[in-house]
Amino acid sequence: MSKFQKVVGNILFGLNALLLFFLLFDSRMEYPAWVQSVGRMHPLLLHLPIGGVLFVFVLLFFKNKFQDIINGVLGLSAVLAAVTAIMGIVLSKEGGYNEDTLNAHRLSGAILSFVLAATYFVSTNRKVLNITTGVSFVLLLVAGHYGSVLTHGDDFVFGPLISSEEHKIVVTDSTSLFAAAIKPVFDTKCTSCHNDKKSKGGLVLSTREGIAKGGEHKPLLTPSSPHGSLLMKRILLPEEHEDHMPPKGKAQLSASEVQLLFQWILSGADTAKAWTRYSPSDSVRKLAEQVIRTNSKTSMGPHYTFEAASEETIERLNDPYLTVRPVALGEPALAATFFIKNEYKPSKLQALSAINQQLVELNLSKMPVTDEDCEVIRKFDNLEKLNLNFSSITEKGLQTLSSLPELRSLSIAGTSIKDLNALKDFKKLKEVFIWNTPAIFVDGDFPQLVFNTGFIPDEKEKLRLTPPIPSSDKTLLDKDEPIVLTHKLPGTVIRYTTDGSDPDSTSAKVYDAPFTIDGYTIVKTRACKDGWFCSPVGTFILYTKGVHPLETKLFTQPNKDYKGEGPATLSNDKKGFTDDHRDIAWIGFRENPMSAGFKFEKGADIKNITLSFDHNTYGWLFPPAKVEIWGGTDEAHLSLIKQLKPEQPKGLQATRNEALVIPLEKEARGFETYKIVAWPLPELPKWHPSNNPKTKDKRAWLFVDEIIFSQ
Amino acid sequence: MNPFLENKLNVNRRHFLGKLSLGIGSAALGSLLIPDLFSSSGDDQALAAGLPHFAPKAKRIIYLHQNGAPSQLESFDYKPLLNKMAGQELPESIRNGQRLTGMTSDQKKFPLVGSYFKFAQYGKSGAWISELFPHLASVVDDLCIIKTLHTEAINHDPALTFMQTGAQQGNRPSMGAWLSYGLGSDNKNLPAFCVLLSRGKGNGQGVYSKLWTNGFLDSIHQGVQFSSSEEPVLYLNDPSGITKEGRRKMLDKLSELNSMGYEEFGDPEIQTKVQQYEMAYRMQTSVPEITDLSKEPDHIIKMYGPDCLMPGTYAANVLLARKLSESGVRFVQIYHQGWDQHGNLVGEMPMQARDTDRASAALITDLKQRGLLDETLVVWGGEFGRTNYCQGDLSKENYGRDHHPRCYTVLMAGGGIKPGIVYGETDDFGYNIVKDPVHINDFHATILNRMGLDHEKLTFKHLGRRYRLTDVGGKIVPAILA
Repeated sequence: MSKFQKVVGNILFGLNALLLFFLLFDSRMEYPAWVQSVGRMHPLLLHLPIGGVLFVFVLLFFKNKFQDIINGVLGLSAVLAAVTAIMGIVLSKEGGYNEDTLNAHRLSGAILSFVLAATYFVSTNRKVLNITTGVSFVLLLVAGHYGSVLTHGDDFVFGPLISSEEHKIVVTDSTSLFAAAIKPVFDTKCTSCHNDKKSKGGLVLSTREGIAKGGEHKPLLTPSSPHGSLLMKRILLPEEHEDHMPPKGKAQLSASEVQLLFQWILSGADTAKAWTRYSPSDSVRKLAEQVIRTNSKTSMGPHYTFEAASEETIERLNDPYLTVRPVALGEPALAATFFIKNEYKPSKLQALSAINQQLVELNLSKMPVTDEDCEVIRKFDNLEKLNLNFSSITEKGLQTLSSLPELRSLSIAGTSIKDLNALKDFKKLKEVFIWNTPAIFVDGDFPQLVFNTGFIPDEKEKLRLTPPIPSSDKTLLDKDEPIVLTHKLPGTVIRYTTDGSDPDSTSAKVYDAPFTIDGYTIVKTRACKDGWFCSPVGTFILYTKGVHPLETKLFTQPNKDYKGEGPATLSNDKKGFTDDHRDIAWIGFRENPMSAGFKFEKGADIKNITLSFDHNTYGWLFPPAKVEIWGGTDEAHLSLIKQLKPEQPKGLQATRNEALVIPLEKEARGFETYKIVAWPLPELPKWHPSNNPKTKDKRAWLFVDEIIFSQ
Repeated sequence: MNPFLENKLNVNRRHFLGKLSLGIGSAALGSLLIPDLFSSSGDDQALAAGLPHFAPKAKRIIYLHQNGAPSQLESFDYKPLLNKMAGQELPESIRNGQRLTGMTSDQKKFPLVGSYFKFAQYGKSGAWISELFPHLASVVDDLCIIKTLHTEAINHDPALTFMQTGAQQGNRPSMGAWLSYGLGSDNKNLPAFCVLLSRGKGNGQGVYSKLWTNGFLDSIHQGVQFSSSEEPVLYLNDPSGITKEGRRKMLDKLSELNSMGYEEFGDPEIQTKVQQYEMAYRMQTSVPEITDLSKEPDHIIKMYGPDCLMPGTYAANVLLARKLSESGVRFVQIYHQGWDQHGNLVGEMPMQARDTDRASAALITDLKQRGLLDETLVVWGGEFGRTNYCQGDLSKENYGRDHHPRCYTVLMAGGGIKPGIVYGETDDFGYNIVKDPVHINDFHATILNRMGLDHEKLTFKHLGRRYRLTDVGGKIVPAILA
C-alpha cells in the first residue's frame, strides 16, 4: 500500500466519522452563517462523486486492467462523497423540504459515503470490488432520485408526459373561482417549490390549507388588502430583488396573472365561492373567465357523471327522422331531435326511455306531441333543455313535465298554452319561451324565470305588400297555357292588366282564375289587403310560342364572344337571363348588324314577328337602331317589306327582356322566306354615363334571344 | 439472386445500428418540433365520429355574407373626424404604405370623406350605428360588433375566398364544408351545408361555386345551392307517371348496382353518390315542409318584411335560412350581392340597407323567441372594409369608397358569443386598428371553438400534409366568448 493510499485512507476514515457524528447529532446542532454557504455548495459538489463512481463502474468491465486508475478515482470519489454528504446535512438545516424525502435522501447519501469508503479499502480484490461498486451504484441511484425529488419536485421527469392530462380542469358553473382560475396559476408557476413535499419557506401552495396557513412569515394573504398581503408583496418586488417570487430565472407570472391574483385578494381571497357567483362586471370574474377559457379550452361546458349508454343502443334509436347523438366526443350526455312531422310516432319517443338517464336535450319542435307523450318525457331524469315549439301540448302536459328535476330551458312557442301556473312547480327551470302563445303572466309571478315573449307586431305599422307573381318563371309559354298569379300572404286581392296599363286598386280586373294570353304581352299586377299598403305594380313580360321555321340562317357574324348556339339560338324557344350576357340563349352583335334568314312551309301565314332583345342600358345593351324585314320565295328573291326605327330610351332604365312586335300587312304574310336585319346602335346616347371623352369605342350592343313568328 | 435473401443481406447488423441511430435521432428531433407527435391519440379517427371535440355552445351557423363589402364607415364604425376633415388629404403617416387596388392607385389625391348618414348610440354598450340600419340597431343588445377584422386581400375574389375558405387561392374547403366534415349532419333529410343567393340593387360582385366547395374533402360536404325560384330545390318532384313506390324500387336497385361498382373499384365517390340519392329521396318530404309558409304566423311576414314573400330576395332567403337551420342544417350560407360602392355610395347604400336590415334583425329576434339563438350563431359581414378617402369625384352629395383590407366590421349574435358588446378599436381615421385586431384566421378559430371544434385538431391530410381551416394561424378571441 503506497503512502498516497494511506493518506487517502485516513482522510476517508476521518470524514466518515465526522459524517456519522453529524448524522446522529444533527438535530442538536447550530451552524454559523459561513458554514451555511459551504452547505449550499452541496448541489455543485455532488456531481463529482457520481461521475467517479460511474467511471469506476465502467472500468470494472475490463478484467484486471486499469487497477491504478480505479484506485485513484475510487479514493477521490469516496472523499468527495463524504464531503458532499456533510455539506448536504448542513444544507438540510435551512429547511423547506419535505421531511420524509429528506430523511431518505440523507440516509441513502450517508450510506453511499460509507460504502464507497469501504470499497476503497477492498479495492485490490476485484471480486469484492465488483460487488461493492455495484452496491454503490444502486445507492447512487436511490440517493440521486430522492435528491432530485427535493429540488425539482415529484414527477419532474415524467411531468411533461402526464401534466397536460392532469392539469386539465373541468369547469362547471359551480366550480369555485379559486379552483378554476387561481389554483392553475399557483400550479404552473409556484408549486414546483411550494408543495407538500418540498415547501420552501414552509409554504405550501398546492392545497387550500397550505395557502390559508401561510409559510414561515405567515400569513400569506390579508383578504381585501392585496398591498398588505405577503403574496403580492413578493410578486411585485423587482425581479432582481432577492425576495422576489418566483425567483429570478424561473417562469414569471404574466401581467394578467398578477392582476388576477391582485383582484382575487381584493375581492376577499375566497377559496370556495363559485366563479358564477361573482358579478359578471367584477374585474376578478372577467380576468378569471379569460383564464378559464385558455386553460380549459377543450373541456368547457357541463361535465356529466352518469354512465354512458351503449353504442348499440344509440345506434338502434337513430333513424333518418330521429337523430340521437352525444353532445360531444367522450361525453355520456345525449341530445335527441325529431324531424318530419309525418314520421313522428309516440312509440319512437317511448323508445328513448332506453336512454332516460343520458338524455339532456330533446327537440320535438313542430312534432304533434300530445299531453300523454309528456308522461314519457317526464322520466328523462337529466333533461336540461326541452323544445316543444308548435307541438300540441296543453296546460295538462305542462303540469306533467313540472316534475323534471334538471330542466333549465323550456320552449313552448306556438302552442295553445294559456295558463302558466304549472311553471311554479318546476325546480330548476330558468328560461321559458312563450312567443306566439295566448299565455299571459303578471310581472313578479315567476321571480326565478326569464320569459321570452318574442316579437309583438306593431298594429299601427303598415307595410307595403309585394306584387303578386306568376306561379311559374317561364316567360315563353305554349299556346293557351294558363297563367297562374299567386301571392304568398293569404287573403290578398290580386288585380291585373294585360294591356300595358298600371292596374289600380279599385277598378282593375280582379284575378280569380288562371287566364291565357296571345303573343307578346305585358302582364301588370298589384296586390291589396286590409292593414297593408297595396303593392307596387309587378311587371311580367310574357310570350307565347310561334311557328317554328324549317331553317334558320345567319348572314352576318355575331361578336366572337357571344355566339350563342349559332343561328338556332333565334328559334330554339329559349329565353335568356337579362343579367347574364354569357347565357347561350343570347346572341350578341356589335360590329355587324344582325341579318338572319328564316324559311317556312308554303302558306305559313305569318301575322306578326316579335324580336325579343335584352334591354340593359347599364350594360350598353340597347334596342336596335333600325330594323328591316325582307320577304320572298327564297333567299335570292327577297324584297324589303318593312322598315322601322325603334324608339330609344332617354335615360338609364331597369334591365328587362323586351320585344319589338312587328305586325305584317296582309300582302306581306304569305312569304316562305323572311330576312330580318337589325342594326345595333352605332353610338351610346349622349346621356349615357359611359359616353365621355375617355371612352374610345362607343358602339352599343344588340342582344337577341328569340325571334317569334306568330300565325 | 433470391430477392428475399438479397434483402436480408442488405440489412446487416452494421446497417441496422447505423440506421437506428439516425432513425431515433430524427424521431427525437421530430418530437421536439411537433410536441404531441407521440401523444396524439388518433385525431383523424376521433373526427370520423363526426362529433364535437368538446361540448359546443353553438350547433348551427347562419352566415349572412354581405357580398361586395359594405362600408364600415356608413354602418358601424363611427368616425366624426372624417366629417371634420372632409376633403383633406389622407396623411401618409396613416396610410403607411398600404397597397391600393388598381382602381385608385392612379388617383392623385386621396381626400378624406365622412359618413353622409347620421349615427346615434344604441343599447347597453352605447354602440354607434348609422341611420341606415334601424332594425339591427334595435337588436344591438344581442349583437357582438367586431370592428377590427382585417384581411390580407384587397380584391373581391381573393378576399371572399379567404373569408369563406381560410385561404385566398380557392382550392380549399369552405367553412361550411369543414363543419359538415367535422360535425356531420343532424338532419339526415337535408344537406348539412346549404347556400342561398340574392342580389340587391347596388353595384354587385359575383359569387362562384368555389366559395361553397368541398375542396379536397369528400364531395358530400359540398354546399348545396338552393334556387331562388319558387321551388328552392330543382327537379325534386317525381316526374309525372312515377309513383313514390316506383321511385323507391328504382333507388333500391340502383343502390345494388352501385354497391357492386364500389366492390369492384373501391371509389368512395360511389358511396357518396348513393348517399346523395337517398338524401334527395328524403328531401322530397323535407323540403316542401320547409318551404311551406302557411304554418308561419301572419306577423312573421311583418317581422321579416313583405319582401320575404318574393322568392329570391334577401328577406325570403333569410326566412328560408331560419327554417333550414331550425330543421338542423349545420351551416346556411347566404350571399347578398350589391355592396360594392366604388361610386354613388349615397345612392346605393340606403337601398342595400333597406333590403337587408329588417330581415337580418328579424332573424335574430325570431331565433331568440324560439329558444334557438343560444345554439345558433349568426354572422353578418363582408369580405373587407372600405377606404376612408373618396374614390372618384367627391361632392357634398355623393362619393365612393375603394377596398380597404386593414379594418372592417363584422356582427355576430347568439351561439355562445357575448351579446351587447363592441370589440376592438380603430383609429380616428377609421384606417388602422389600434386595439384588439381579429385576423380572419382568428375569426375562424373562434367560430370553430363555439361549434365545439378545436381548430388545430380539425384537419384533413391532403397532398402530404394536414390542412386546417385556419391553416397555420388562428387564435381564439376569448373576450367575445359568452
